[in-house]
Amino acid sequence: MEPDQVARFERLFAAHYGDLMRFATRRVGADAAGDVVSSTFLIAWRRFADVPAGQSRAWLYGTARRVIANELRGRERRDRLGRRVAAHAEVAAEDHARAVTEQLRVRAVLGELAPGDQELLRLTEWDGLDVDEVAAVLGCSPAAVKVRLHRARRRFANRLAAADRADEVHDRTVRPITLPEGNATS
Amino acid sequence: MNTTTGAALARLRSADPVSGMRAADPDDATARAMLDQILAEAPPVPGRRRTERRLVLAGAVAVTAAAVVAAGVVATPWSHGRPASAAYAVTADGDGAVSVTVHWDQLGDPAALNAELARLGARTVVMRVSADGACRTGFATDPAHPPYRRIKFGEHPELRDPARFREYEWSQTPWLDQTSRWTDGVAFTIRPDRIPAGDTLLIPYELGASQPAQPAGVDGAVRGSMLVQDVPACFPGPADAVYTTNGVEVR
Repeated sequence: MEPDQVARFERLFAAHYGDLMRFATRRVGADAAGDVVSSTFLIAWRRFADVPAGQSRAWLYGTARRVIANELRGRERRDRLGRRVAAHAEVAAEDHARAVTEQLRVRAVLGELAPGDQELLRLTEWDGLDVDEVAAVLGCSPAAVKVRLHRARRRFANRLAAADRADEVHDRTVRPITLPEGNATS
Repeated sequence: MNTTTGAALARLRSADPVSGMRAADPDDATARAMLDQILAEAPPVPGRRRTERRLVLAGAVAVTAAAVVAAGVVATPWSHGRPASAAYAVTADGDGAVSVTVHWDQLGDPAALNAELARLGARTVVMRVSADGACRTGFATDPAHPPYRRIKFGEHPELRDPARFREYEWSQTPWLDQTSRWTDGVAFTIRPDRIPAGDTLLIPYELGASQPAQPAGVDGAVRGSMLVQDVPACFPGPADAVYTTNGVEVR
């Protein structure tokens, strides 16, 4: 083992550990995020020669996505995840009760999009990856990502606007009308 | 990007479910333990593109092996140090233990190795993991000794220490000692007297897919070991099997 190799890996770990924890936490919850990140870096260590110097972040994200997919395929993991999703649902309900509706509404609109659109938007808006990195993560060309991302953003904005309008209509329907005193009719 | 889209994306960024999460610190104890544990693994193989493999079994032997292809593989007795060209070597130690060294990529058919292990009473079978689709039969492992374990660091904080963690791992498999490992093989010692009665130690190994330009270039890794009461005829590949605490089940 070369000392320089260890030092370079430690720098890679330090640079991306935090981002990968956030990435994994979004997708599998805080409990399992550590396992995903650990497996991802273990693969990176074993295949250190394959990690591209200029796109290490994209390589790690792509690997983490596959680790998560493998995790979800396991029955045991799936069962545990099911319980975790249920737990998240409870948290969401609680949040809703606390009127944290804006975030839930936006996430609900995101969830209505096609999976491919969702993934593009999560990677760019939440994980902060650029077009080249997203292309590396998804295994497609940057040009294709640009086109798909443009469409995904537009679809998301349209759906969000539609959801806002629907809520306004709903508000007008159910909101009691308050008339100035003296104008009330019986 | 128009104003409407820009505003929508700004709202999306604000709706990030981990926006309130404290940034994970790569220097805190949890991260350092993770890093130490990773670096305690076998060192990476330089300059070789390898296929990604599943991380499935905990404990026991876990090494990577590089591609070193030798023509005319022969088994020779192994005494001390690293064997240079033998596919494998097996020796009976004086105390009943059986020491094995093997270059996975050179092993080919493990029948001869298994015959030697049987002759020395090792109660151990080495078995190559089948190609995807080639083996569709699951099997049970000894329920008293599940091959797959999950360790909750919250309940065992002392195991965050990599050295303690390795000690714990090995304490779970007293019938197998990994004495050394290198980039293209492994040496380990089997202690048959510590294998539970009625069980056989099964050591699966897997060779990664060859690169098209390198038909003989394979690499391999031992995932771990497991105790079985009935030795299976084959070991299903990762695409066909789910590894559970009860054994290997076909998907």
